[in-house]
Amino acid sequence: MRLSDAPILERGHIFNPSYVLVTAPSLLFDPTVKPLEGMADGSVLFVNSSKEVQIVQPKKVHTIYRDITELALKHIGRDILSAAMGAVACKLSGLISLQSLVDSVEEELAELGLAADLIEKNVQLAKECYSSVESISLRGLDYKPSHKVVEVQYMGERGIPDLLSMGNTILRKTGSWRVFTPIVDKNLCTACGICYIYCPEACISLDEQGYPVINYNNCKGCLVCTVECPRRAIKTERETIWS
Amino acid sequence: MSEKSDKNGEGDHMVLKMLTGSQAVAWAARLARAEYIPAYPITPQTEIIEILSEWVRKGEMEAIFVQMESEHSLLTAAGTAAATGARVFTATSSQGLLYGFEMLYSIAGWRAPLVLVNVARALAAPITLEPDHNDVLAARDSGFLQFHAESVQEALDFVLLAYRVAEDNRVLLPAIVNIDGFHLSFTRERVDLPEQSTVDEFLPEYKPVNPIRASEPVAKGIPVLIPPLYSFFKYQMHMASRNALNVFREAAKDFEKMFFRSYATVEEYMLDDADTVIVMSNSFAAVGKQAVNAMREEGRKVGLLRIRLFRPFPTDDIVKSLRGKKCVVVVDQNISIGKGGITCPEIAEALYHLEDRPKVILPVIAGLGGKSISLEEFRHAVRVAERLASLKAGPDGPLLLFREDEAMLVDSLLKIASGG
Ligand code: SF4
Ligand code: SF4
Repeated sequence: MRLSDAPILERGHIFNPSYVLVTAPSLLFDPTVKPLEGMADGSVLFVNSSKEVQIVQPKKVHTIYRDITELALKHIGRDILSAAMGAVACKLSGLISLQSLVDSVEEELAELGLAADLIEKNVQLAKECYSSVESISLRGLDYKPSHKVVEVQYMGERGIPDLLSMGNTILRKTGSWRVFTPIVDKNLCTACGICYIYCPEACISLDEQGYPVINYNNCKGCLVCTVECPRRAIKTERETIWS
Repeated sequence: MSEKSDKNGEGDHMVLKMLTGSQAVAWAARLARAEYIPAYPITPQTEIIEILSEWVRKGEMEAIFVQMESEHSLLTAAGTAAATGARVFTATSSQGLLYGFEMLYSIAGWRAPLVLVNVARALAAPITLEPDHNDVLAARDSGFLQFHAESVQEALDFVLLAYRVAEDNRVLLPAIVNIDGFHLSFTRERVDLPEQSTVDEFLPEYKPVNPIRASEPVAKGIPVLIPPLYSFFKYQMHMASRNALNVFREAAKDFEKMFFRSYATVEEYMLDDADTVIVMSNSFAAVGKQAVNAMREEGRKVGLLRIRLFRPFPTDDIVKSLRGKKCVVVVDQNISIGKGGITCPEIAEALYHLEDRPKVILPVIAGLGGKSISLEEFRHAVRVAERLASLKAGPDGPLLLFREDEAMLVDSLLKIASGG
């Protein structure tokens, strides 16, 4: 969304954000996301997390932690965070009133065709999130000069978009996507191997006795395994912080 | 294969033949030992694939010939086969090129070298079969190298040169060789048919980079959703294409040693003392030269510059040829609707920074849909350019010239069409 009294001349990537809202703490360490890049002294960081996270952040950034996933689970029963994060942003900025927030949650969710009771749950979620934080005004943000510029050079055969390193998907640690973690209860598990077959990410391997072992670096928490296990042997636990 | 194909050479000397453009490029594909030929018919290209299919059927050419169900499939098959390391030849024209258009960018992005002959034919609508260059120039930005032939001999030679340049690992880009429909494709001209052993020497086996093999998987043209990666790979293609200028020059030197014909990226015709230079490409450049001869006899210092290599664009050579001239008349046999000719702005940009740049660059649209270009039109365009130079004025926009009888013909046909 782009809205301002003066023309907004930024487009696409926001290089020097004043407020950064991070939906999952794991994203703080994701090299492809880099949410903290470009934050100035005096800017505001909101992290959806029940715990404080150790961040290497030399700048004086005002950091707030709240577990709004917990609130979403309470109100909606699912980790759907759009209304919640929107509400936090409205409040932090101090620019948008509670009534405007409620109006737009109702309007936008109605446009999507959501049932009235689900819209109401989202409104309640937004209200609680709105009251869970205080507005923080920005004081003279001090942006550091940005990067050096380089001219792209010819790279010969390396400059061809060929992928030779097979099996590199494990480098992408999709474990950071989890909201719920599947955990195998060995007392119930019969080593039937069904979860092993169903896991769409091939994150489940079998140990010598045929029991499933989940690779938590890459298990994205889709919970297909939980649903498919005929013994209901795969329990789920709320992921509070991804290690 | 070499035994069979050595029949082609018929001894140790070159063979003089009267060949059509279609026959010449088919011979080039055969001499280049193209291994895979996906094909689809379209006028005026079909003769090429008819000849090749006949040779393959008779066992005179050892290649796999596959009739596809469309040009989109044709180009997909061509590109993927090239990515496995096969030497691929294919041909299309006009609407067919546009139908497969999406794949041009993919094949170039895979950096899969192959040679595609485009038999130029103007684009519908209205429909015609005669040539202009809106079809081949639509592919201008795709990453394909582009060789534009004036003669049947050039058509043959450019296919061989195109393989050599495209497959060079400093380039690794596919190439289009453009020949004008009818004017080259169906016209017999005297051709030195190279012998097989010399072609083999000129064109060593294609050594692909990271070819797709069943045992060694490689993903080509991978998704790069991160914007810097996309720009990086595109710019690499650009620089590889720029490398093709020198690779072409090297190849042309070897070509001259082996075949005694020399090719620069551009051809200069009576340029040395010329005040006004006509810029053209492809087969109609011959009538441009004829006009230059006629104007020379009238005492006008006119010359002609013909662009052989259109991509990569030979900026340096064009600058060398045109700097210090008084007027340049760029005859574009194409039209970018709402702008004018496609070549003219490229020429103008090449010359802009020179102190001694020409006073006038006059854009002319001619030969659309194969309309002939008369001596009178050339003479008129040269006069307009020289008058503008003396007035120190610039042109209003591209000229489109008709002879009076052509204008009258159009008028009478419009009357019939309107029932009047
Ligand atoms: S949650 Fe999904 S990704 Fe993780 S182990 Fe189960 S099926 Fe695989
Ligand atoms: S599907 Fe359930 S019972 Fe079967 S191996 Fe997996 S966890 Fe064990």
